[in-house]
Amino acid sequence: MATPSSQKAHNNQGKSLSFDPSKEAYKALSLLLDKVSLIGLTLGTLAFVASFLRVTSEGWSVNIIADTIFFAAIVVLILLRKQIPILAVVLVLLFLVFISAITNFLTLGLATISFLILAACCVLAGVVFRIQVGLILLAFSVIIISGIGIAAHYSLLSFPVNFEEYLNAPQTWMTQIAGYVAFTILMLIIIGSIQTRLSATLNQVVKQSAELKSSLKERDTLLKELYHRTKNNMQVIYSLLGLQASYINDKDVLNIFKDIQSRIQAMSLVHQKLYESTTLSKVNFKDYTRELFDLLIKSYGGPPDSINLIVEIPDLYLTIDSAIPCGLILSELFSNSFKYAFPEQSRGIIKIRACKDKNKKIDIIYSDNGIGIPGGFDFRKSESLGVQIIYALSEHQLQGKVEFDSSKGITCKISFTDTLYQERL
Amino acid sequence: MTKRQRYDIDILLVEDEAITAVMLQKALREYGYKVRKPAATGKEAILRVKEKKPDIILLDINLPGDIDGIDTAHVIFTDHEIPIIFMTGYSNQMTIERSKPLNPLAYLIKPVTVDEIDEVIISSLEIHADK
Repeated sequence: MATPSSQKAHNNQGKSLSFDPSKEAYKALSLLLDKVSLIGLTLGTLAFVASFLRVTSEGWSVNIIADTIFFAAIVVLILLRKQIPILAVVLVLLFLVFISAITNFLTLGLATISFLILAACCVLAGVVFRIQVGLILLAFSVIIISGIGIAAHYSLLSFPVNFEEYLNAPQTWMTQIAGYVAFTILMLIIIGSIQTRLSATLNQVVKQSAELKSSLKERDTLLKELYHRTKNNMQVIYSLLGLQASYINDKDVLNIFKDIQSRIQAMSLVHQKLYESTTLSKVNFKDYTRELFDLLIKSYGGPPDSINLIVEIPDLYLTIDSAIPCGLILSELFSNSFKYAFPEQSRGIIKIRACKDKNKKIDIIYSDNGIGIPGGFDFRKSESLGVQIIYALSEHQLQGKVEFDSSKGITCKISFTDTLYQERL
Repeated sequence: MTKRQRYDIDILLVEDEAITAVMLQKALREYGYKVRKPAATGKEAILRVKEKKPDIILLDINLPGDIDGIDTAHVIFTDHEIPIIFMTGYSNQMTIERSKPLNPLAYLIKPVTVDEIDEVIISSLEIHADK
């Protein structure tokens, strides 16, 4: 049979490789901003209160307005950071800090703090956008500061406090600007070098992550292929037995063939359910039970509505190591009920309950309301292959317990702990 | 439906898995249907239909080669609207959607029993007779 998974494998791998490093970096930046913004808001509030008290006491009205607008804008930006694109938030923040620093030059004069704020703006622009953007901002700020200096020197503008002493000696502010330029360029070079190294590391991580995803996808595809082929091979064995059985007239031999076919179907269905499961490692036991019932009642030739199946199983998922023996046990019990419990086409009920406690102990209780077995029958001494299989699988393979009760129909309780086998996937 | 009536129904079986194909062919013949030598690929199925139009096509979806069962059915449908019963190992919503325009008689999940196929054929004939 052609394998659907192999046909899709190529496409799936293509999908897993479409890993966009810029998107990943963008996500990382958003995450960083999210973490930093709350700390920034707290520190910013403290700085604003201190600054506001100072500028109020000094009576610098331009600063009061600028600080208030600046602070309000930052609060709004931080609160709306999830709705606004991250780059827009950074751009507006940069603009506000830049304007705030320039305002400081107009009121405080060529204060070192203003130079530091401007340098921070240039470095941030270099980090977030590109080093070239930082350099352009640096050049722009130098033009503005020089313009203010020249305007003040030639008394084209009137400035408040502390300004004249700088402007009386132009070489002083020129030196300051040169220092600012040198400091900012140095910072940009350092940041640029760190950024290049980080970018190389990030690219490597992204590449490795893409390779890992691709290899996981490949593993899933191969595993699905394996389940699919195992199921198909079992179906071929089932069909071969069916073909061979068609040459047999002896009813007893035919029944033996049918029993073997049921066991193969029970195992084959585990592989089908594993193929269909999202984890590829566990089987939904409730779905499995229903589907096994549907398959077996068909193969035993009974009308599907002659036996009513009641399944009371919560979300119970079994690994392949537990699912195969449980499936085979159910197959034996179903086969027994279909063959002997309801003679002469009588209608019946099969009830299956299962539960798992916090210690991972699983109880599966199977019962039918059929004719049962005469009192005093010792199941453990039974020579029936079906009963021997149930004991072997429950006690030997699952290391659990089996209890039979034939007082009212047949009830079989299997108990085992789901910790014997480690999850393999 | 009697064996005699079933013999009037010519089935083309398209299944790449030889043992499954032989088993279905044998079992369908035992029920009385006229079943030709099964086709293993979509291309082979298209050729068989061109040679002689069957009454029903029993078509596996996952076939080897360039075209799968549904594509095969689409090609056949351009010339002949033959009733189709699809068979597949796994029910997949996308595959079901792809097969909808072909209005198949049934979409059977493997392992398929001859009882199921017989039931589908009988009920489709009854619907046909009612019309």
